[in-house]
Order: sequence, then C-alpha cells, then structure tokens
Amino acid sequence: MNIRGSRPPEAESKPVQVVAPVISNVEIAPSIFRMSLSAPGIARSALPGQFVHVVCHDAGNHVSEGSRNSGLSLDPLLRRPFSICRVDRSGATIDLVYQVVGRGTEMLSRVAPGEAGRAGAVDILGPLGRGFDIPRSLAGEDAAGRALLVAGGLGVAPLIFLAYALAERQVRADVAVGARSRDLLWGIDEFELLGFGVELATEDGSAGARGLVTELVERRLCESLGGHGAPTVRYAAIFACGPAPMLAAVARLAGERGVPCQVSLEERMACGVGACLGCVVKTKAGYRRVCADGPVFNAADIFFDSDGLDFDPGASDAGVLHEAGMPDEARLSDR
Amino acid sequence: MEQPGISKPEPDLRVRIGSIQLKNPVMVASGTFGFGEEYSRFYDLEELGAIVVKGLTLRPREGNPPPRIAETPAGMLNSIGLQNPGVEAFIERELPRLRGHRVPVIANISGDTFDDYFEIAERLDGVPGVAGLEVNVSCPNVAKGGLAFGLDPDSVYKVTRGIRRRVRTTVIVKLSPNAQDIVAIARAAERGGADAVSLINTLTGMVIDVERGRPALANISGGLSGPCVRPVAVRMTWQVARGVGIPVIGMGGIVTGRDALEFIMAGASAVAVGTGSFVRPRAALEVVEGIRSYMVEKGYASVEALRGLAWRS
Ligand SMILES: Cc1cc2nc3c(=O)[nH]c(=O)nc-3n(C[C@H](O)[C@H](O)[C@H](O)COP(=O)(O)OP(=O)(O)OC[C@H]3O[C@@H](n4cnc5c(N)ncnc54)[C@H](O)[C@@H]3O)c2cc1C
Ligand SMILES: Cc1cc2nc3c(=O)[nH]c(=O)nc-3n(C[C@H](O)[C@H](O)[C@H](O)COP(=O)(O)O)c2cc1C
Ligand code: FES
Repeated sequence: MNIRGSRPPEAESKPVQVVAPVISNVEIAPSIFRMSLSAPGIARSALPGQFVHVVCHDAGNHVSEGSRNSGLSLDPLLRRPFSICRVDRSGATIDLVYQVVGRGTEMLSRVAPGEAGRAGAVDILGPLGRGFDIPRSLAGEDAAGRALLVAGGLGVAPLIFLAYALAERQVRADVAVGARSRDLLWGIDEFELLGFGVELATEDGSAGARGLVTELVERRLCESLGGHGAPTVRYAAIFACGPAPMLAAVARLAGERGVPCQVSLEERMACGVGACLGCVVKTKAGYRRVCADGPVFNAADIFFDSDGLDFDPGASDAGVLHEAGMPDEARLSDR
Repeated sequence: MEQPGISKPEPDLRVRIGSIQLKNPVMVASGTFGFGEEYSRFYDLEELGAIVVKGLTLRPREGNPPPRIAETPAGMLNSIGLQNPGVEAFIERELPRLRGHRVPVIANISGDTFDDYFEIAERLDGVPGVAGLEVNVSCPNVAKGGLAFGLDPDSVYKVTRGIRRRVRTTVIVKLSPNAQDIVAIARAAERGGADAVSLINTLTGMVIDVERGRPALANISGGLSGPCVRPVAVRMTWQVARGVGIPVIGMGGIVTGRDALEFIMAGASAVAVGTGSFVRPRAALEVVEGIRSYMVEKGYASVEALRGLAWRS
C-alpha cells in the first residue's frame, strides 16, 4: 500500500508560517465571520481548494521566536484548518470565512485588526493541501460542458476561490448552495458578480427551494441528461464542499450520471502538513491524508458511509476492546 | 559533574548516543515527523541532532479508522495505529531521500512477537543511512495475551537482549509511561544491552464527545502527548536517569528550549520534540536555539555540564 500522495507536496506551492496582520474580522451572518489577513506569500501562491492552518487564540498568535516560555498559548494547542476563500493577489491578502462552532473559532472571532507580532495578528501556516483540479476540457468555446459548484453551509468558502479561478479561465458554471435558513446564506453575491447563476435551497424554505441542496443537484443532472425534452445543459465537472452526508449524496448522484466529481473533505487534524497521519479518510487505495493528499479528492475514490464519513461506533470499537482481553493501551493507542 | 565553566562564546552542543554522534541534543520524535519529507519544506533537516522516523513494522499496516485525533487541554490524543508502509518500502522509497540529508536517521521499530522485533532489527542493521534503532516496546505482546511488551520488565529484557545479540547498530529502547515501575523497565533494557533509553511514549487517555455521547476517537482510547504530559515526563526522566548508567533521551511536551532544558537538568543526554512540531513547524530548531542561547547566557560550555544539574540541589 502506498501511503503517500501520487504527487510530491513540492509540486504545489511551498507553505510558510507567518504571523499575519488582521485587516478585518467581521460577522457577516449569525456566528459566521469573514477575516481578511495580510499574507503576501500565501496570497501569491495559493490555489483554489487549499487551506491554511491557523493558531486560534484571542492573544492572536503563539508567541514570537526566541522569547521565553511565558505567553506561548498552549491551550487550545492545535491549529485549526480553514479553506482559503479568496485571495487578492495585488492587495496581498487572503480571506477566510469561518463559523463559530467551538473554543478555537470563538477565540478567533475576538481577534481585532492590528499589527504583525502583536495582538491583532494571526499565526497561519499555508498554503496547504492539494486543491481543485480544473480540467482543460472545461475552458473555452469548445468546452465539453459546464461546471457545477455545490456548497453546503461553510462549504461555500473554497468554492468562491474556485469560482474566481473558473471565471478567469472563462469556464461556464452554475452554483447550488444549501443552508439551514436564509440568514446563514453568504457569498451568493460573489458568485453572481462573477456571472454565475446561483440556485438556493434552505431546509426551512426561507430562501430558494425548501429542502436539501442535493435535490437541486439531482434535478440539474437530470436536465443535463435531457430527461425531459432536449438536453439543456451538460455538466462536465462537479465541485463540491460541505457536510459529509451532502458530499456522499452528491458523489452518488455524480457517479450515477457519470459526471466527474471532486469533493473537498474535512477531518480532524494535528500537523496539517502530512507528517502525523492523523487526518486520514478511507479511499479505494487505503487511508489517505486529508491535509496532504487532499482536502480535494475524486469522489469516485472515496468510501462514503451511509451517514457520510462518520464512523459507526458499533462497528469498529467493541471488537477492539475485547479481542485483546483488556482495554490495553497498546492496541488502542499509537505509541 | 563539572561546575559551570567560564563563559565561552560558542557552546559545544554535541552529544553522543551509542555510536551516533549528534551535532546537537535535539531530535524529532517518532510518528510526529513522518519520514522527514514534510518538514523539510520548512527547514534544513541537517540542523537537527537526529530524525526518528515513523514507527515501522515488518509488513505494511493500515492503521486505525478515523477520527484518530482529539484535542485535550494543552495536549492531544492520537490513535494512528502504527500506519506505515512496512520496512521494505521504507528502505526502498524513503531511505534514499533521507540519506541525502546529512543527519542521523534512527528507525523506530515495532512488532507483535519477539521474532517480529528480531527480524525487523536484523533487516535494518547495517543498511546505509540507518544510524540506529529505537525499539518501541509499547506494542501488544501476542504471546502475553495483548499485554504490551513495555509493561513487563522480563519482556523488555528479552526483546532488548535478543536484538542486541543480532545487531551491531546502536539500540535505543523507548519506554512506555504506562508501566507500573518505569525504572525497573529501564534497568531491564540496560541489562539487555541497550545503548540508551528514550522516554516517554504516550500516556493512555480518552476523550468523550459529550454532544454525541460517544468516544471522540473511533478507536475509543488513544495516546496522550503534548505540554500536558511534560511534568510526568520530566519526573520519569529524573528517576530513570538516576537509575541507569546509559544515556537517557527525554521527551514529552517539549515546545521551547526551556522545556528541553528541564529534561536535560533532570538527567537527559538528549531530547526529542514531538507534538511541538504540529504547533510550530520549526519547533525543534527553536529548541536548539533556545538551548544554545541559554548556554551562552549562563556560560555553560557543554551539554554534559548541564545534564542532571537539578540533582545537585
Ligand atoms: C480542510 C478543511 C477546511 C476547513 N475549512 C473551513 C472553513 O472554511 N470555514 C469553517 O468555518 N470551517 C472550516 N473547517 C472546519 C474547521 O476547521 C473547524 O470548524 C474548526 O477546527 C473548529 O474549531 P473549534 O476550536 O472552534 O471547535 P472545537 O471545539 O475543536 O470543535 C467544535 C466542533 O467542530 C467540529 N470540528 C472541529 N475540528 C474540525 C475539523 N477539522 N473538521 C470538521 N469539524 C471539526 C467538532 O467535531 C465539533 O463538533 C475546515 C476543516 C478542514 C479539515
Ligand atoms: C501522532 C503521533 C504518532 C506517534 N507515533 C509513534 C510511533 O510510531 N512510534 C513511537 O515510538 N512513538 C510514537 N509517538 C510518540 C512520540 O514519539 C512521543 O514519544 C510522544 O508523543 C511524547 O512526546 P511529545 O509530547 O513531544 O509529542 C507518536 C506520537 C504522536 C503524537
Ligand atoms: S494532520 Fe497530520 S497528516 Fe494530516
């Protein structure tokens, strides 16, 4: 089994660790913040679908090098991954959009704009991971078809960066966005400014269709096959990001219709750079690292459980505890 | 022990572990640094004292199902499950690249039976680019009904002696903090012929996801590492370093030079940075710098002059 990616990480932009001044950090929807950071190196080299690994602390960053122990924020200890939502190459900034879901994002939301090296700056590592692959066949007059972007919740973030890249290459695309309710929708205007049509679905019906974004996808793919009358649109690629169950459903639909589909996955991370093997997902070629082999994968390569990527507590654990005769550290933990 | 020497401009950071000469006492810990490739994007690996690679087994291992990571206060749990490509793939695919960096590479090895340990040790012995072996004895001993080798002094003695008799390379035995009496385990390794011991491996721990009412790790429990384990690791380093006559490599929660100095003053000849690299990718280099500047500031000429300093109090 080959546990490494097929492409060395060097093939992509070289990551850097920087303490990036916060230019703005604004609540754009309830509990959803957009943070602009000054990070010229990352803004220059990042590709759509890549992420940054962020020290989430309201002191802004882990203390600078060379100083003594004090001030090093060890709790929360681990960095948090966030998709790069937009880069402004001339302004040398990157934008992240994050939802406050726990301690780290809560602390991040309290960081005020400021200067490098002091409160008001955030320690980030990036760009990391392998992003979306934009096939040549999508671009230009004789394109094989359109692209379909499918986002659920915060999954909008990497797709905005992708949308800019698609627009640059004159790829025609449609966007389907799902959220729980109208107030949690964001980023729609950015897609529209780029000239992409956006269709919405909310679970409570407060905007767009009532229901799940996957229902929009299903309809679009049916149309694309010309289920009723002549084929109106033909999709040559699907790009999706969102909760695991949504991705599983999109992957299945794409598979049934034979449309190539790329999904951006999430998993708990420690190192974020490929060294610890903490963030793996099950693929047809064995476990692969979300942070280094992904986060973007071909949907056809991923094993989705019925409830997404989540593990089934009944299936794997019981046997492990009992087969060794004791809940012994050796077989349960990694040493 | 010498007294602090006269202030010298450039302190001597070199240390020796078995037949391995390290340019400084700072290694990177097994399983936290892959096979070096990832972090080589952040700095020149030759700046390190040594690299200890991800734990190897005879045959490839798939590892445990995800989620494999859970955060804890000032620490983390992991249940990677020794995912690795197997020793042959390591030699063929990883070692040639690693050999290109002029830094000692220590292979961390694991097995389920005594014969597994002996076979993998013999396979790696004398392979160009492998400077030594670190024997991870925290694995379930199949013959003992799954009880880890590392919890039982007799097993540790037998593993160590068996490897010692089969290989010429430097042998380091990595101790589990979950043992009842870690000094007894360390002495067993010493009697078996180990050149050094390293400690601590991770402490068994568990996190429950209260929202979902189930363990946060798919594997139920995992190994605890990071700054939260440091006081335990320093205490064990102190005890073991006083209880054996071979060098001790200390680790557990080191992020800064000062953290590392605690281990050295407790008696460690060298240290390793693990989880710290996840937090700060250049942590190991920052630790080297921190040790150096402390030595300059306080006028210590060699690491040996600092080793066990706290014993004198
Ligand atoms: C490649 C990647 C890109 C991401 N991009 C974004 C983004 O653009 N915007 C955004 O808001 N979030 C994004 N996430 C998720 C984000 O990393 C988590 O929401 C964040 O780590 C939570 O930190 P916390 O301390 O606030 O929460 P914690 O207190 O650690 O946990 C709170 C909740 O968040 C969940 N969670 C924690 N870490 C992760 C994780 N790594 N992946 C999924 N769920 C997690 C936990 O299961 C828990 O339910 C991304 C994750 C990955 C892996
Ligand atoms: C993700 C992860 C994987 C590890 N894998 C191994 C391993 O394969 N073999 C081993 O001997 N120790 C392994 N360890 C233990 C570390 O080498 C080290 O002993 C421990 O983490 C304590 O140091 P730290 O607090 O600096 O991380 C692993 C630790 C972590 C966090
Ligand atoms: S988080 Fe360490 S390998 Fe992905």
